[in-house]
Amino acid sequence: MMPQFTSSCTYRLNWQNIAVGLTIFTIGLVKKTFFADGVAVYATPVFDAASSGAPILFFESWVGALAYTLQLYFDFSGYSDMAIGLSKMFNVKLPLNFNSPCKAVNIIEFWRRWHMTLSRFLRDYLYIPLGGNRHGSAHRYMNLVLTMLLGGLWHGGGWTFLIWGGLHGFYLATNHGWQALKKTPVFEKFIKRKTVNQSRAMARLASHLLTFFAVVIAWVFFRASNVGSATYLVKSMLGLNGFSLPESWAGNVVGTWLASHGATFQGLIPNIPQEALSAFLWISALLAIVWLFPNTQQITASYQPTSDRIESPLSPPVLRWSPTLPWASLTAILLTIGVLELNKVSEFLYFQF
Amino acid sequence: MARPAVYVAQLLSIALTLIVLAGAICYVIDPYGLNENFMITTVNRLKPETETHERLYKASVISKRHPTILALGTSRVQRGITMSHPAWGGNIEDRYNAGLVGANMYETLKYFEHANNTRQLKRVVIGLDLLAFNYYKLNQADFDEQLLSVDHQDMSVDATLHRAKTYFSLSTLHAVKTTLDGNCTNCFSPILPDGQENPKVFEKALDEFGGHYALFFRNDGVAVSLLHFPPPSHKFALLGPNGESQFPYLQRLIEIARRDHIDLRLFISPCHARQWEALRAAGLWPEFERWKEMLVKILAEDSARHPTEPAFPLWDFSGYNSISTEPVPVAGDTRTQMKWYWESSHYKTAVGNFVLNRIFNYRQRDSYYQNESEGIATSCRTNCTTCADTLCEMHFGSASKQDEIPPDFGVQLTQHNLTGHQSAILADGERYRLTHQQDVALLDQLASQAMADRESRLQRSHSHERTLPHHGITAQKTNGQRSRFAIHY
Repeated sequence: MMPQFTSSCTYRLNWQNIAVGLTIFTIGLVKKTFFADGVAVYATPVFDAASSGAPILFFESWVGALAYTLQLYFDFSGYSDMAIGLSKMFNVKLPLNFNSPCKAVNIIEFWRRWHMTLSRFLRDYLYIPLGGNRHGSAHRYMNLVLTMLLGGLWHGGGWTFLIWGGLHGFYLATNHGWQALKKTPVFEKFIKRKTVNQSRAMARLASHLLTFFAVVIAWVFFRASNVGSATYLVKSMLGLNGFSLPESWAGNVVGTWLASHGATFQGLIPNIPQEALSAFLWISALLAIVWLFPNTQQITASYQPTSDRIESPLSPPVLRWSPTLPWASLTAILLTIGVLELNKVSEFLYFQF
Repeated sequence: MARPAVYVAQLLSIALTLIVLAGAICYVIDPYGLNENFMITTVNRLKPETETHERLYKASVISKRHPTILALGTSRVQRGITMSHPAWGGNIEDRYNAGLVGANMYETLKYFEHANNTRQLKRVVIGLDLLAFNYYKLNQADFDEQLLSVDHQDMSVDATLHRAKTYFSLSTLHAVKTTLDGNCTNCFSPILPDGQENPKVFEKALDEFGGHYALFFRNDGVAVSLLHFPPPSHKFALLGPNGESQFPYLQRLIEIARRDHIDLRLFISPCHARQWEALRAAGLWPEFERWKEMLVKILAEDSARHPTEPAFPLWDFSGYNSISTEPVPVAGDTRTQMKWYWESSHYKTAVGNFVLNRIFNYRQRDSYYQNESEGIATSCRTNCTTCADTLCEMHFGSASKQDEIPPDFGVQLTQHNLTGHQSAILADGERYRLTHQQDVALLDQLASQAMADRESRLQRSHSHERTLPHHGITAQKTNGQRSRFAIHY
């Protein structure tokens, strides 16, 4: 990073860097002002209501947890893109900070893709000085957990952050343990006999979903204002606090049957002012983006915008940025949306009254 | 020019064009009524969005029209007080109803200051409500102090710029669409030009809910829960944990009124008896009485400090009187129209006119019509029986036909008559309950249900008394989109 400042090239106007940087900045701005703030309206009321003790049942707890996961990702990766883009305009390459973390198939990979600069910091200044993996596997697992606990505390002084760190430490230790187990001869023999391509794809999908689920659960602790409301929300996500269905279901046959099994009819998301359908659409659309779309750096990979090299897979040719009129128009539309979303006009919510 | 430079030029010029275009559309259609420069019938004359953006709209109207005669308070004032009542005096265009739905005392103070800083106020009437003095009643989401001229120095430049920013916003662009959709032939603006809420809003609600009975029932549930125990804390208290309260905001308002020689009159809202029963059922009766004591005390202190000037009067229209005990249509009766009330919280303009008659000591029926436009006045004077269905009714309410105020409606509170007055209301309440046992039982049931909800909420919250974003000088901007990590990373 630092050698860039001694190079005389850094102090020259470079239109290519300005073009790439402006594009990345714009994507970051839209991630923050449109996506993150847009989905936040489904997360904030759930966590607020939970901390005030309102009943949050199955569907609503999932809406809140998923919306917060997406809010956090788009918010933080948006800011990171904006920083990377701005620096690039001034000919400075920053390290990559997010590399599609939601596509990770295990927790180890997640931490190589999420807040990468922090992961590196924790590895170099906590995990390795603590002994890393140099004193046998038991020590290694302990070091992992300890590193993540401290990483949790770094985010804020509170039990919720400590638990968040502890969960990730536990996840990482489990993940490493599992990988060690897979390398034992007995296991290898068993796996080799069983594995065919199809089941491998299924296993990949399953571990992807499991990883994502584990991450979402941890974010609930990260966001909740106290441990009580976090555990309550997690219980609700597991269906242990019951189900609330749309009011219109109350009369019909299915509704009556479900009611006899404990369902209530206060609406799917009674603590959120917006419609359940719009929550569903927002969350599905954003999940589709984080799971299926190439990320900012993949789109601009041919121009190497960061100090980390972008590895494959690159984005499909149609989604590879180049300084052409179609890309200028598309980016201009995004920039317009990003700028217009900076001024939100807040409205009166009868819901709260 | 190199390709990347052309790209940058294209990108910026397209984006700039789009942003300017969006701003221009929002300016012309003007969904929040901020400039009212292009008022085109069937396009944007009606402003449906002012219903959910009334704090923005009213702040802007005050800046533009700089009224000197103001009605202030909550939705009760906004719905029930008309500014066309002649007792207001002055020019009709100098009068404005600045009542705000769900306003706490802090918000009311800030709109008072905003108007007074825009142009020195002459006359102010404030409707006071217990709910506005709840320490836990936060500013509403659309309350934005940056819209207001809150001190004489900065005046309105910042506020004007802040309002101008709203033209460049996707939410405004969305509001443009609802404005265009909301200009059909049967559509109406939710807020009348004088700031009063359009009675059609409630007429529509009455239709949708199926009559007064249903509206009263719904309102009973709200009164024992959200109205007096608002989210996020779901609590009521006149005093906060460290003795903070909303009273200093009223005191500040009174000080300013004294300083600037404003004719200030205050009243406690004339809600329906069912509203007072809801307060009692929710366990708030002692607070209600204590609140009145505090109001009387504050005014007495002010009066003692200014012995040579007339005291600011406080009228109490609460309690059980011939207006507030109006019978509610029975279940299933969706057609009978009540004369005085929409539901227990909101009185009709006719009651508002009685209130104004009383506090301005206004009786002469003839001059009642004097300032009004000739057409209405003539038709009303010549044939009063048809008035009920005409514009006249809308303007004057039933008071135009019957300006005799029932003698039991409204008592001016002083330190001397307060105790007697409170015990009289208590006795009236007991009599009322004897004849309305069914209503009272239902209210008790709703209140205990709401209380149980609050208790289980409290247990679940494991609450270490969270610090609340509060009204007052340190009020945080409530845009509802706090990003947790922005604080922690």
